[in-house]
Amino acid sequence: MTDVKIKAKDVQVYYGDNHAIKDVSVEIENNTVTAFIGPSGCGKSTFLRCINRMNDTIDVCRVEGDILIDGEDIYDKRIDPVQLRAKVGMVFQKPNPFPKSIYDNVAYGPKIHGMSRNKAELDDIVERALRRGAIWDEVKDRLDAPGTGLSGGQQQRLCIARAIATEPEVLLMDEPCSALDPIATAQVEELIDELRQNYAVVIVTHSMQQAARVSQKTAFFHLGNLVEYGDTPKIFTNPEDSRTESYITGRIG
Amino acid sequence: MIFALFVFVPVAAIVAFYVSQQHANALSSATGQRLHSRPQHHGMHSMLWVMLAGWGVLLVLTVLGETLIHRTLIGRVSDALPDDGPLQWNLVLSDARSIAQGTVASSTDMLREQIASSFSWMNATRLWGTALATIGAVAAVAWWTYQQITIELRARIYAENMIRRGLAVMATVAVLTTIGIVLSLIFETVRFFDAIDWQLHKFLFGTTWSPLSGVFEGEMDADKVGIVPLFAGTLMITLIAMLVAVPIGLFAAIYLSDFANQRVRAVVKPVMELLAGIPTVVYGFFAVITVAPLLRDAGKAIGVPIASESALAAGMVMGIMIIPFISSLSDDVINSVPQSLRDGSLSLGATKAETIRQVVLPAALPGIVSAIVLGVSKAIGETMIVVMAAGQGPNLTGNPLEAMTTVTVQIVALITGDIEAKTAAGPAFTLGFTLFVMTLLMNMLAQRLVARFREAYD
Repeated sequence: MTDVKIKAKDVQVYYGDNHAIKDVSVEIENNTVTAFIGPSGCGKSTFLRCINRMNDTIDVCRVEGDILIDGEDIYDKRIDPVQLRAKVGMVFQKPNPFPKSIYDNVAYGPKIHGMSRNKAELDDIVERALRRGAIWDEVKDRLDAPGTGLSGGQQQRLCIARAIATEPEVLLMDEPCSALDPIATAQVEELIDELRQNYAVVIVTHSMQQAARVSQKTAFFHLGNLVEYGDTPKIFTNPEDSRTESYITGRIG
Repeated sequence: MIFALFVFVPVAAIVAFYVSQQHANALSSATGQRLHSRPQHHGMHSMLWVMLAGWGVLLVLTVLGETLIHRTLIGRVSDALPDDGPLQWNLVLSDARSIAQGTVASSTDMLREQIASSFSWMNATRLWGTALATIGAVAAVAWWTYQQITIELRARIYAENMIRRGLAVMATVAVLTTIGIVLSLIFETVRFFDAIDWQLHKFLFGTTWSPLSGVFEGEMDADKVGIVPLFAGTLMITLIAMLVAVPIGLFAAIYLSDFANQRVRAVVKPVMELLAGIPTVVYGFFAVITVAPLLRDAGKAIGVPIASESALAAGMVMGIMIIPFISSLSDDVINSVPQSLRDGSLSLGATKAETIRQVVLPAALPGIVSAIVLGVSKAIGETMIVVMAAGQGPNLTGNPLEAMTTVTVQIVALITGDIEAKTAAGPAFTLGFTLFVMTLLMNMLAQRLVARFREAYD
């Protein structure tokens, strides 16, 4: 329970002239749900996107410092971001199923990475991913239907299934429940707890209740700084930094 | 005079606007009550009525007066010259008009002088009558609307209704014009088919196109009106054009939307769109003067004979012309594919190429299909380039290196040729109608395709 999966050291991120992340160092553990909380624009999503190098797609974005996954620097020149992203899955704020069938949505990653030799194996991978995404029972009879035709909550669970179909080691979730109603949110949160068995899960959330419910570790970001990082119960009951306390009690944010 | 009246009406209307507005204002402050409509609505109400009445009276009187004068004078000329036909009567009348207006007439005699003096005073009466009636109508209507202004008058509602009706009239004009053009196409086409005794199979499947050789006025030889060589030419040149335009346009669009950085994009996109602004005539002589000789020499070098007028040259240049339409439209649809889909694909470890091929392009497909259809429509309808670069001879061949002709080129040849328009009109209109039906069917097919993709994806 204490092996470190992701280790970030003195990470700086710049968007053009804007210094968005300042000196962030954090160690994220395996088989743990780590929550990033903080007011809007504090850099938590930006930092999340550094972990699978999605910021590479933004021209003006520049990342400095080291981020190591399993001891390997992911910003090293020898690392191919494409392979890195196969290892570090991501679920976005807004459900973004491809305009394809439910089956093809989930099969997309495994097909690209050549994870199956034949149709039967692929079927198997898709079924397993949909089961682990807790959506199999709802869609098993209409795998050919377009993924965009599902409800918002189903779409998000489909996207989670899609992300875990490639069997990543880390799952990044950028406010996965912000577009969902309370029932769908509860389903996704239950799912996150199950996913912890196999992955290091990092979740960005605006809901402090959600952070308290699903995470074991919590990191509080403010104005680009990592203010406090520790066990979730401690952060929420006995924070060390006054800024953390102000945020949690609703005085800043 | 008529023109002065035409300008007078809007000026009077603007005056009416301000006068009514002032009156409404004064009324409201005098009584201390709130008007139902704002003062400018009262002004608008007066202005619209004045314009309607002024221009309406002007139009009706101009047309009526002109017709009346013509009828009366032609009647008098025909009484004086009962042995001559309408052609002669019209000639006399136009001479008389020339005399009356002090310009040169073809000949002068007693009758012409008499008619001329009648024309003079009739025309003067007509002009002064029209002027008086128009000014009278404007004044009366302006007074009438001015009188109507009260606190309760629902001027805004009346004015808005008038504007709405005006808009509806404009829409009707557009629709009626289209219907008129289509009807005239159909009418001439039916006449043409009558002339070939409705031997439609000869028209649709005949391989000789030479409608004007060895025929007398109004006649057609059914064996010489086969459109196969023309449509073969059109299809061949369209195909070549699309083979050039679709890959270049589409790949350029993909590059611009997904690979180029902002600076490259800011330069390349306007330059590409500049291509769309070049007149087709310029493309035409570019094809003749630059591309065709280049192809011919290249052909000579490798031992392939290429005619100096060839479908290949015309098609290639037409393709270049169409590139910006395809690239610009495709670029727009590819850009409108949400970034979240790209992020989703990239976050699964897909490469950029995989993302574009498997996620972006399928999502953009309906738009890309309609861009291609627009390109095909332009290629089929394009005339100038083919007139210059592809030749005029209806030459049925499958070889793109030879001269070919297209439907549009033949229409140009028929209309601008030295055969009298009446004979040439039949085949020309029929070709036009066939082209119209073809393009229409294609657009409908494309819309079907697009609708089907849309259904599958959202």
